[in-house]
Amino acid sequence: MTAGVASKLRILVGASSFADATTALRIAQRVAQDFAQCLGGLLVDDENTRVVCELPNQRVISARGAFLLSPSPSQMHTLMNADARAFEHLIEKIAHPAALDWSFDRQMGELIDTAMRTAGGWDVVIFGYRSIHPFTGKIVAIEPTLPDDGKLMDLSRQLAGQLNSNLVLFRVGAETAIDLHAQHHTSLVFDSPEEAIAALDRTNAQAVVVDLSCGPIHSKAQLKSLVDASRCPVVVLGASSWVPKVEHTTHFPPV
Amino acid sequence: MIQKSQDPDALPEGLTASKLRSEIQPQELGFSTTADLKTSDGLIGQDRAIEAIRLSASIGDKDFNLFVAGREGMGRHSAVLHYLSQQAARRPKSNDWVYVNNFETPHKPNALRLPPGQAVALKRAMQNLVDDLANEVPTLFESDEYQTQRRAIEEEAGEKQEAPLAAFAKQVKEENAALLKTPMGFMLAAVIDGKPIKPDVYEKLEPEERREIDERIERLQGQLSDILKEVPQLEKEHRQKVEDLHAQMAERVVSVRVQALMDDFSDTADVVAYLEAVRQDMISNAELFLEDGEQNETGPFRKAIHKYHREPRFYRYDVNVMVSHGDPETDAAPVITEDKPSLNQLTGRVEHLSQMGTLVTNFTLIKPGALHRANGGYLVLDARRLLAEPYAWDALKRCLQSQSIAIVSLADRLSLGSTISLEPDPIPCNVRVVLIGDRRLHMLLVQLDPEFGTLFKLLADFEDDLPRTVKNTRSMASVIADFAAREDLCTMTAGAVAAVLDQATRLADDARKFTLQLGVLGDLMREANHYAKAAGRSVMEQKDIARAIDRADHRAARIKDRMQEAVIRKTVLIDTSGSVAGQVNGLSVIGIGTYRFGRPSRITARTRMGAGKLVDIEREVELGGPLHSKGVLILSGYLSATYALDVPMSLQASLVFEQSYGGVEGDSASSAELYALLSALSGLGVRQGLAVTGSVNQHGEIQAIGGVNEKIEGFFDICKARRLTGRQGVLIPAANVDNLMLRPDVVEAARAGKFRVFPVRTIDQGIEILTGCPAGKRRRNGLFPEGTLNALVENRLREFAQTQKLFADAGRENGPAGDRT
Repeated sequence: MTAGVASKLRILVGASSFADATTALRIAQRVAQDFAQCLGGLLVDDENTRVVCELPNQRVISARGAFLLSPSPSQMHTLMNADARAFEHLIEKIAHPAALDWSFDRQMGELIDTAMRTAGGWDVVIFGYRSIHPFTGKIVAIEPTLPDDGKLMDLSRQLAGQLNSNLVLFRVGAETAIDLHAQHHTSLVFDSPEEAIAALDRTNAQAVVVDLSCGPIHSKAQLKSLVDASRCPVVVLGASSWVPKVEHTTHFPPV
Repeated sequence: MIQKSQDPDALPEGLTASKLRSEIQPQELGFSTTADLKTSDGLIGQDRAIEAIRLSASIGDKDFNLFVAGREGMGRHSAVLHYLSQQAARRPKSNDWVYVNNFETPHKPNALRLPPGQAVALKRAMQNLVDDLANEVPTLFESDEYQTQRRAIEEEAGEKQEAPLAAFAKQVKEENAALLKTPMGFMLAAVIDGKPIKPDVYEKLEPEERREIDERIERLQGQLSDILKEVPQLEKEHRQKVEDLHAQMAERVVSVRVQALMDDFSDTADVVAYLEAVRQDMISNAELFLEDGEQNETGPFRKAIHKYHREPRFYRYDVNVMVSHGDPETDAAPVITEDKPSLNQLTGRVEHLSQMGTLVTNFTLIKPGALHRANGGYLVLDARRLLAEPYAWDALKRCLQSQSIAIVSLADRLSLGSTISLEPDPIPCNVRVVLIGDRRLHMLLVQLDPEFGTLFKLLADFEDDLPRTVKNTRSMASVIADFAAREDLCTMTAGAVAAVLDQATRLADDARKFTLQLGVLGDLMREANHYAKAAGRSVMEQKDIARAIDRADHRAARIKDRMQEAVIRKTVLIDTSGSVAGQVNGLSVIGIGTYRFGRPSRITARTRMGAGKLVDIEREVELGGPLHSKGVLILSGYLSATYALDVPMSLQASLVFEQSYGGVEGDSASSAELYALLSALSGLGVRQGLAVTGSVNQHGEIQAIGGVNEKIEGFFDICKARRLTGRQGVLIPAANVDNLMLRPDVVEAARAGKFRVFPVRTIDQGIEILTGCPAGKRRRNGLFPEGTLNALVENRLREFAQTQKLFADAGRENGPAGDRT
């Protein structure tokens, strides 16, 4: 990794299914290759999805466009259990050769909320999104609106190099924190985060990198929109900055 | 021929010493040492065979293959190679042949014909092509040009997919719905209060509202399905574009390189066509040149000099050289000798490699056979070895008939192969095959294989011997000198050459001929050379040859010595002095391997009155062969037609080879048996110092036999061991005098009057020598002269007849025994 990216990162991969987790883990593996300390997996059993499955005449559209009957609650339970086992196994398979610590957790709830709640102990959170097509996309970096330590750009460049992709910088506002002339990438300027997200929706991205501690994404709603619009894994730095501070007498996990 | 003595007990003189051994006198040869002689081509007396070899070598017709028949050691192989090489030098060099990959059907590799020496050039050119492209193609694909075009293709495809998805996502939001992900795929649900609708809320809705939601969701589901169904088609288009890009990029460098090769091999249309196929395959499989490019950086050699063509992924562009005639020093058609003419060695084979427990193969594992190497020239095979190899003869015939070399393994022929194999293109075959064997093998092939005569129209029949003329004697001397020079033996004196020629005469079994078993004579010369060198001499002398002959005999004579020992110690009873009636010393020859020696056997005859039956005891106990039985029956015919013609043959006689336990074959003892019978009938004793050999016919004429020298020497050795008395000797057929080439010690004894050899033409001559009694000729009155042996025999037979008549008369007077009361 290039200078500026802190060594011994703790990376958490959050996904609501194994299909989503697979693409995220591919990114995580690249990020963790030389300088990760710990790799975590979080499978969020989405309550909304379970509820929708129970609607009458509900159908599922497969990745190839086929109509399938929606799973019953018991089938859904079985599917999620299988996904959990596969997710955990894949985490272990990646972590073991690289001598990384690894952990796996499964929780009920909504993906963004649950992952952000858990993000306190992790340097990087990667939200998974299943691959709909095989065409190589860009690496999109959402430029921080506040001065940062350069970690986001280093990570973005590294990913672009490893995945043989173009790096595109999405900048919100006229202010720039990065010397564009020193970098070899495309830069797009947007007036607001919403415009950037709308552009992202039309972009074939392979991964999106964003730092929550330095803007321009400031809310969970924006983050959720970003993840939905990306339709690819979203690498989130500084997620712990959003975790509400607790009193100093409270420790998780209990000691 | 025989000088009669006045003394009836005295023996005739017998043959003179000069008749017993026709030695060549060194001074007759006309040189003092072999250094004075010019070299010879090493083959004489084989004009008939050489004509056949030359005809086969030069005639154009495809079926004039040759069978060379003759005994071992006649120089057949060297003669065949000599004359074939001469003819091969006049023929053009054969073409080169290679197998290359058939890109359409890889299990049927293509055979390519190239001008002599071009096969290796093509192979090296293809190796260089692969090495060059393996360096250049990755560089091309790492270029900005390629990367830019590749990204453009990716982006175009990505945009094509993302645009409808983005529009759909916007529409979903606008139509107040949510796109949810499940382990199985995507779901769509209506949104109420910012959250996907719950079942209980849905149930509480008005039917109209539910229908509206259902229709909306169903429509969105259909749209999403349509969008996702486009993905495979987009993938296909994308893949095609990438492949086109690869081909376009690869073609630039591949076409230039391959065109250079095409120019180099423009004279060979097949090669040009093959290179075009290579070009197309390389362009469409450009990714082969991109695999694992980085791994080669870690070795001790730089990537630029890495031999990529050795990697299995590039075997498809290899050139498998089956046969190459690129040696600039050789400008002749090939003459190939295959010492192990098995099916595989003859027609080639397809080898296999074991990979993951499975046998696999490819066209680079096709190995050539002798037919490939000899194609366009000559192939020399040993017939016996060829016929001993399973399916080799059949495969050779198939190739000669079809004039093509097809490689079919034994496993495939027997349908035993259970792994993948190849069907290489048959290679056109234009080869002259020369089989070298013996006459018996040739006869069997003619009789048992109807195709043999069609495919092998010529026979080169090597003579076994050569007439001993003055010219041939000198020619043989030249051959011997040439052999000595070629084998780096010592220079030979004329005496040594004469000794070798004497041995050649002895081996021919004929004093008027030389054997042409040059191999045996060569062995003799090599051994003599050893003795000469051991003695510190640089010249081989007559005594060295004599010693070699003597030691070779000594080494082989263990059994002969044991048998002679048994005679001398009277374990086997053979008398060499005195006189005994009805007992004659017969002579037989025993062959052990290539060594033969003579051995005396006591033959006895007993007679009495009987019904004209001659009992051959050997035959009765099945120790006598058919030829021996035939000889004994001839005796019966001779007796009945010669004596007592006016009375019934009333003889009961038995004949036996005493102390014979191993069987008797041949008729060479039939005269001895007749002598024993006549002696027994006449009561005259037979001189035991004499031994007899020769067959007899019904007229009493003595006929020639084989192995006369060994027989005489066998009896001589016994007599010598007991002391030569001067009254010992051997009776031989007069027709065998020309075969005499006795050992010098026998000749010396004869010259000193201690041993004699008597040639006889008739039984009467022989019995006179054996008994010392005149045989007697029948007079006009029909009787033999009184006191002659024949008169005694006839009288005895008449006595038997008379006695039998009396016995018969007495029987009739007494009447049948059954009538008595």
